[in-house]
Amino acid sequence: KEPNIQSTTNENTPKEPVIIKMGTKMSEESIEGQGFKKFAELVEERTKGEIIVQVYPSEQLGDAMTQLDNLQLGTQDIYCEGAAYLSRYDKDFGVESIPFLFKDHDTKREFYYSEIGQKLSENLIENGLKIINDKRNFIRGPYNVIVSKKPIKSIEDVKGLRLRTFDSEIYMKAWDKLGANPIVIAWTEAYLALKQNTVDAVTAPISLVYNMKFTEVAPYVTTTNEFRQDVIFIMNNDRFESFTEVQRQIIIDSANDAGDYVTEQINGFVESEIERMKSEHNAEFYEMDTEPFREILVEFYQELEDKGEISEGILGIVFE
Amino acid sequence: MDKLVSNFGKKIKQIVDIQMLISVIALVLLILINAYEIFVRNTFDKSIIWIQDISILLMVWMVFLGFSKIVYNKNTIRITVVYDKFPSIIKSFLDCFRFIVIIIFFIILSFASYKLIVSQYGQGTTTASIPLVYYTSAVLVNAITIILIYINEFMKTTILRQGGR
Amino acid sequence: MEIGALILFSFIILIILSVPISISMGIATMLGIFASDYVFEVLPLMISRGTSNYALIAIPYFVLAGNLMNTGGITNRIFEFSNTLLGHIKGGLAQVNVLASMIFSGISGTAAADAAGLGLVEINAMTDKGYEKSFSTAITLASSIIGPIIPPSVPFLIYAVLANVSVGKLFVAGIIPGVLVGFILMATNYYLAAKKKVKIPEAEPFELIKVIKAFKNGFFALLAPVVLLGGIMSGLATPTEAGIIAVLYSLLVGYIYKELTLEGIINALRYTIYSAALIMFLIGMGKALGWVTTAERLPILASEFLFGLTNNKILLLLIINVFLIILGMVLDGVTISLIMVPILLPIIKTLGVNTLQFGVILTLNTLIGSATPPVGVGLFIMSSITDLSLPQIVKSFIPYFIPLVIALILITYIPFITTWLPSIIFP
Ligand code: NA
Ligand code: NA
Repeated sequence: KEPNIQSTTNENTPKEPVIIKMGTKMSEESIEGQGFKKFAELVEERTKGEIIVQVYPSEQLGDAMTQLDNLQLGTQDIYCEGAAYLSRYDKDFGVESIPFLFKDHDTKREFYYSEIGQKLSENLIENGLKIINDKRNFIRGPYNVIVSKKPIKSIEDVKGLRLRTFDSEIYMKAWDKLGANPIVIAWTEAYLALKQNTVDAVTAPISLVYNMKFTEVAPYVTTTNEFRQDVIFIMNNDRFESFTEVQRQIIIDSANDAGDYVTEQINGFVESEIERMKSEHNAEFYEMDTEPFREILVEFYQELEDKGEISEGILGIVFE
Repeated sequence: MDKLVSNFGKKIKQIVDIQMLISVIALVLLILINAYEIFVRNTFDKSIIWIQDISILLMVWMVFLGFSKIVYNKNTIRITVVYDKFPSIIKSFLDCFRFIVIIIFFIILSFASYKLIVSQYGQGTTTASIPLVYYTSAVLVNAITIILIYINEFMKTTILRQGGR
Repeated sequence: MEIGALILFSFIILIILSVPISISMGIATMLGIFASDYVFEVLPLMISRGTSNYALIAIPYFVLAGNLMNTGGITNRIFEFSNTLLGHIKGGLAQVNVLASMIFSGISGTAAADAAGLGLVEINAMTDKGYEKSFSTAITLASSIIGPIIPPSVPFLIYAVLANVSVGKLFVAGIIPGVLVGFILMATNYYLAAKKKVKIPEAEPFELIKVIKAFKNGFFALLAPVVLLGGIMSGLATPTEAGIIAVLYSLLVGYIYKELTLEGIINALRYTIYSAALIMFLIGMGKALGWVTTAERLPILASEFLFGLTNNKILLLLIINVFLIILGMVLDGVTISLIMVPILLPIIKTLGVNTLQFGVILTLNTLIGSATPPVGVGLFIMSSITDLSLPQIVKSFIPYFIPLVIALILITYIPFITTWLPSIIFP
C-alpha cells in the first residue's frame, strides 16, 4: 500500500506522493498546530508534491510514550514533542525538566551543540531516531510563569507554597529545595485544584494560562522562565535516510522554517492573551529576578552530577 | 489419549487459578498504595512520585492475568444469536474454526510481544524508570496462556468428544 | 478505504461466528496492520498502552464499590429507606425501585452492579408483594440504566479518556440527566399504574416514623452517595480518589453493619476482576483498533461521508443516534465507545456539540441498547437472576423503552440539561 520510495524518483512513471505520518500533542488550531501545518505545506510545496505530510494532532496517535514506541517501530514517521520525553533513551535529555538550569535559549542550544549534546544525538540515532529541526527554534511557552493566589515577587514568597507540578522527580526535588511543597496533579485538574485551594499556585507556559482560565481563580502571574522549552521534530532515522539528499535537506529546512514561523506567531499571541487576562480577570503580572533560584539550586545540580543523574560537563556549559 | 487431555486440562486450570490469585493480589495492592498516596498527600502535602507508574503496572497485570480466568470460564462477551441457530454438526465445525483462528491470532500476538519486549529492552518509564518490558510482558504471558486454554478447548471438543463416542 | 472495509467486514464475520468481541477486535486490527504493511509489534504495543492509562485506574474501584455494597448490607438499607419513603405513592414498589437505583448509582459505577445486586433485592421484594415478575424485572432493568448516568460511572471514565475531556466535569454533567431519567421512569410507572396497564398491588400507607427508622438504620449507607458526590462536585477528590473513597467507605459501612465477611470481600474482589479485567482488556484491544483506523484516516472518511449526506445539525444528530441505537442492539457499550468515539468525535466537534453532552448521549444510548434485543448485556443479567426467558423480559420492557428514548431525545436536543451544572460548578 505504501508507495515505493524509489519509484517516485523515476521520471517516467507518474509520481505517487510519499506519505509521512506526523503525530503531535497540540490541537490543530493551537499556535503549535499552525506551525505543524506550515511544515506540512512547506514540504509539499518544496518537493513539488513528492512528499505529503499527514498531521495527526491532539495525540490522535497516542500519548508521548506510545508515539515514541511507534516511531521506533517505524509505524509512525515523525513525532513532535519536548525533548524531556527522550530521557528514556538517555538520562541527559532529563536536563529539559531541571528548573532554572538554562539561563536562556542560547545556552540550551549551546548545550545541544556541545560534545555532550552531539553524543545525545548519536545515541538517539542508535535507537533509530533523529532530531530534524537542528536550529532548535520551535519555541514552546514561550516562557514560564507561576500563576498564584497571592503575589510572588521574590524567593521568600515561594516558601511553603503548595505548588502543582507534573510528575517528574527532579522537578519536584528542585522546587522542594526552593522551599515549595510540590504536589503532583494532572494538568486537566489543575484549575480545580487552584479553585479548591488544593494548591496555591501552578507553573505553566504563559501561552496556556488564559486558555486554562487559571487567572480567574489565581490572578497573580510571575515570570519565572524556569524552562527554556522547545519542540523537536523526532523522525524515524531509517525513514529519513530513505529520502534523497535534496529531499532530506527540504525536510530539515522546512522544520526549521516552521520553528521561525511559530516563534514569530507566539509572541503576538501571548501579548493579546495577557491583555485579555488583565481586562477579564484583573490579573496582575510581575517580573522576578530568578538568579537567587539558580544560586540555591547550584548545590542540587551538583548533587545530580555526583549521583550520575546528569553527565559530567553539563554544569560547565551552563555556568561558564 | 483421553487421560493425556484431561491431565493437560488440570494443568491449565492450575495455571489459570494461580494467575487469578495474582490478579486479585494486584487489585488489593493497587487499592492499598492508592489509599496510602491519598493519605500522604493530604496529611504531608507531598506527592509520591512513583505512584502512577506502579499503579499502572499493577493494573496491567491485574487485567491480563485476570482475563485468562475470564477466557477459561468462558465469560467473555460473545454474540451467539446467529451461532445458536445452526444445527449441532455445524456448531462443532464452527467451534473448531473459532479455536483455530483464535490460536493463530494469539500465536502471532505472542511473537509480536516477544519482539516488542526485545526492542524495548533497556528503556524505562519517564518518571520512575520502571523497565518497559515489565508492562509489555503481561501481554506475552496472557497470549501464551490463552493459546494453552484454547488448545485445551480444542482437544476437549475434538479428541474427547470423538474418543468418548 | 479497502483497509477500512477489510477491518469492518472481518470484525462483523468474526462476531457472527461468535468469536469473543475483544478477540474479534484484535484479529480485525491484526488484519488491518497486515494490510497496511505495519510491523506486528504495534499490536501488543497498543494493547498494553490502551490498558496503561492512569485515568482508568478508577474503573475497578467503582466496580468494586458496587459489589461491596451488595455484599455488605448497604443495598438492603437503601432499598428499605426508599420503600418507606415512596412505597405509598401510585406505582408503589416500582417507584421505590427507581429511587433505590438513583441512590445506589451515587456510589456504584456500572449498570451491572445495580441490575445484579440491588436488582435482586428489588425483584424479590416486588414478587413477595404480588407484583408480576416480568414487570418487576422490566422496571429493574430500566432503572439500572441510571447507574452509570449519575456519577460515578465506568462508561463516563472510558469516554473521558477516549474524548480527552475532564472526568470530573463529565461526572457532574451526568447528574441532571440521571435524575431526569429517574423522573421519566417514575412518571411512566405512575401512568402505567393509573391506567391499570399493569397489576399494582395495594400499597402500604405512609408512616413518618417508619421513614425515620429506616433513615436511622441506613444512615451510613445513605450517606455514601453524599460523601462521594460531594467529594467529586467540590473538587476535593479526583475521580481516582473518589474511587478509593467509595471502596473504603463501602468497607467501613459493611463493617459497621457487621454484614461484611472475609468471604464476602474475597467474592467482591473476584467479581470485580471478572468485570474490570473484561472491560480493560476490551479497552486494550479497542485502543489497537482505534490506532490502526486513525492511522489509516478512517475517521476523516467517515466524517466526509456523513457531511456528504447533510449539513443539518438536527438531522445529523438524529442519524448518529439511530445508528448508535442499532449498534447498541448488537454490541456492548464499551465496544461501541471504543469504536465510535474516535470516529464520531471530530464530527461532533464540527457540529458544535458540547463534548460533555455527547458523552452523556453516547452513554445513555449504549445503555438503552444493553436492554434491547437481540444482544443486550442487561437482558442477559436479568434473565439469569430471574429465570425469565428473554422474550418475556423484552415484552414487558417495551413500555419503558419509549420514555427512555424520550429522555435521550431531550438530552440530545437540549444541551442545557447536561452543560448547565458543569458550567456552574466549573465556570
Ligand atoms: Na432499580
Ligand atoms: Na453511578
